[in-house]
Amino acid sequence: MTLLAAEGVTLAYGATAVVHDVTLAVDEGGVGLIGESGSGKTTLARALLGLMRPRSGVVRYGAGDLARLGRAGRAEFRRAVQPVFQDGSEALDPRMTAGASITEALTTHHRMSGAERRDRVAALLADVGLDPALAARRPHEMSGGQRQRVAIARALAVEPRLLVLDEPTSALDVTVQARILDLLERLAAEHGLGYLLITHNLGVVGRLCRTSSVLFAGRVVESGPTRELLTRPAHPYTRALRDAVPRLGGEPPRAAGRTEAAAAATGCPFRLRCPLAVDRCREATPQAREVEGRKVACHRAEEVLHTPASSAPRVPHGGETPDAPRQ
Amino acid sequence: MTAPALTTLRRTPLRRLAGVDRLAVAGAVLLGVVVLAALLAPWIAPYPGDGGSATHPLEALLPPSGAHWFGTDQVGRDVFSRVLFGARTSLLIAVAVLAVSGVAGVVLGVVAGYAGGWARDVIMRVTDIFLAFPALLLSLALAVVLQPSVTTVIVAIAVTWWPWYARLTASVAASVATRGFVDSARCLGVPAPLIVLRHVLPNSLTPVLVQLSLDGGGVILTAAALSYLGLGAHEPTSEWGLMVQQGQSLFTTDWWVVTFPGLAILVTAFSFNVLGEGLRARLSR
Amino acid sequence: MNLISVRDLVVRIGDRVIASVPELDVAAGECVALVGESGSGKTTTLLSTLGLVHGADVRGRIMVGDVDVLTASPARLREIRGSRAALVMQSPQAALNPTMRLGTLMSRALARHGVKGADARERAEEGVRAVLLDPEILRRYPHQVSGGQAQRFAIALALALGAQVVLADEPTSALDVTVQAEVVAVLRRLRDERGLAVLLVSHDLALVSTIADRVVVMRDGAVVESGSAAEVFARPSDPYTRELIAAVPELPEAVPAPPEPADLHEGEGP
Repeated sequence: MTLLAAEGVTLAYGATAVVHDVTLAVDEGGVGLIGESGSGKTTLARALLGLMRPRSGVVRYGAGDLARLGRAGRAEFRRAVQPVFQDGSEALDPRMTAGASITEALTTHHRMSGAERRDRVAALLADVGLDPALAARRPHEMSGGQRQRVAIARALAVEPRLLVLDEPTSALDVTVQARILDLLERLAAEHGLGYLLITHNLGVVGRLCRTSSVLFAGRVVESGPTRELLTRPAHPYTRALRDAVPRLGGEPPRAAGRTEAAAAATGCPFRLRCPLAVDRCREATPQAREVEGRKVACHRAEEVLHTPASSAPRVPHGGETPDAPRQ
Repeated sequence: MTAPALTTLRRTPLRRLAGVDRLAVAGAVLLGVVVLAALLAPWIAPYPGDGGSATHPLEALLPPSGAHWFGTDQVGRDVFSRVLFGARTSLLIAVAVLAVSGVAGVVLGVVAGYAGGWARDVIMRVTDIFLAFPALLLSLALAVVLQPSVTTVIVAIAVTWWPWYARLTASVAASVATRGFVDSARCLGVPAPLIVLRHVLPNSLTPVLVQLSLDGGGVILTAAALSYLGLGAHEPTSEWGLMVQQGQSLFTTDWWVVTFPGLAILVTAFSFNVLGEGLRARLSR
Repeated sequence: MNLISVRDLVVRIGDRVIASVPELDVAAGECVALVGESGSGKTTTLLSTLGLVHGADVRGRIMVGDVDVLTASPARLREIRGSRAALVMQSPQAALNPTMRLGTLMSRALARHGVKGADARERAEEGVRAVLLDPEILRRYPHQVSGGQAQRFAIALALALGAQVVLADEPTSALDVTVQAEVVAVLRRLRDERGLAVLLVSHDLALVSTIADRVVVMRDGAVVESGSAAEVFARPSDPYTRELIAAVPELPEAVPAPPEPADLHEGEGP
């Protein structure tokens, strides 16, 4: 069942639209949203969390439009959908102890006695694998991994149905990342949580999400089963992302040249970076269409699908330069 | 000073300062001496009556001596005693002005910074209007309209002082409002007034507190200026600016009448400044 | 030839040893990676090689080329930092003067080393090309370039000054994967084609495995394992190394697709 969905959502800061006509559904189980910095993924997360209103389109919670929810509906939404941000030190008030931060979440929707609060805080900290004694610490007295666990405990305090995870591990050391991902996986299973996982790390979505969408310049360019996207990308951008991920003992990552090229204003937004761009890509904006079990917005998706990965172009050597001037 | 106040001081800025910035500590100590002088004036002043309207015509204009450390003024009052009592007036004005303008500025600033939109526009435009007048002129104008008194001085200065705090707080609060923990509280459904009180306000206060301590000296100087111009405290109140004004014509003959209150102004303003600078250096790290 | 040679390095703050490295050599044309998490001492080790660790007691012997860093005069150290070794940090934009065009920055640095006029222009363009940037970038201001470009420009600057050593401290952890791949490609190329010695500090084992010839794993200030990259990754001997390896998220292998339309092969590399 779909809990939270963006339907044709366009988001803008002032006159600049950063997310264009995005449709995305988060159901029970994990959904991935893959994008690089500047792709609009965090802005989209803010809209899904009700922190920002779409310029057009609808963010749907259950059956209702988020922007039109009444007081009670909004309170219910707030209990049901909780964020976990990139950096626990940013998401926790620096002046509050871990216990106070979690207590704030506990008492926002329910009255509780002091003893009950202490018990719940201890139970939540234990649930995220922390010593309850940490309740007395302030964010700067904890490690990055501990802060992120406290932030997760705080989100769980309201017993949400869905988490919006915005780069939840990218500020952490690799071994800590792995432990936080283990934790999220376990919690999601135990509490029956749905989640939207926003990240630029394909390895992370590969592990935690059944379906994923790839965002480029504020547009979903490919979406479908994560495994399909990672093993047989149909969009050249998905493929570039995949090939750029360094793998242990694997081939050196493939540099997909021209990363500085801007998104094109007309035609396919990816065409200035695309090794496969042809005239058609300049003339017509590709619309999302069904291709072999996924939705993809590329004129040449079939060709991408049926080209061996090794034939993707590498970064040009020698003096030719991959940069296009910025606007 | 009460015990709880002392412990908070020790726990937060002062203790962190210790050993870091000697000048700031010196400022804090000097200011402490001034505060003590103000609090204890009735008991430590050698001639408590001289703080007010007493006159001793036979002892007028005696130079500093063992009996009168700072000498005596035109009507024979002990200048040392009057400087001690003057500390009460000056600190009262400083504390009152900073409290009134600080509270007004911070409340308006936090609202403007967090709410944004038209609320911020309205508050900031009003602030700009106040800031458009030269502060001293506006204070002067107000002081002329109202009756000269200590209260007048407080009102006149506070009116020109709050917009600075409003502007400073608004900019800090606006950046705090974009922090993750504020978003996180909004996502929990914490009502906006509570978010402001719990998260935005406490995290916006530090720069304002630094500014307040830096401004203590400025307020005392302005108050002295107003009194000097006859628009503030008046006889027989002990007020440093007033004392300077009354003694200035005697500077060449009886220098002590004007010099000691002048020094008191200087020392107090200076200690506020170095303390504020020290706080700023420490807290901005 | 070893361009960096460290023996019995011990860095202490008070009584606490924050980095202890018995032996570390980086030869020309070689990339050595210091791997570990925050607090492992890897960055301290890297900074010691340039004499940039302040407020700590640094003992041992550190040679960069023929210069003994711990006994060198300040002028000699400046020369090393300025022109022999390129230090590449996580956020290079912060190190670039925002009021100057990149070209101006470059020509001033060259002028300090006595290179001027057409000669300087040539060296600048050559350096920029070597890191796969368009010389056009020299006309831009630091805020007009992306993180990856700034990162590469920092390397180009050092190259123009004749650096033989690149010291890179988490050079890509603030960058997107696609941009990271470009920076890594540049580092590989400089190592292979120009024989640069690269000392790389990173916590990302997967990244390290794609470029490093040798790996030094550090934890809590001490070296727990070192050896050739192939050896360490294939047969890690220390449990901590194994934990680091296990933490790398796995990406499913690409499914080989039937080679179909022939015209897609045009972009193929050599």
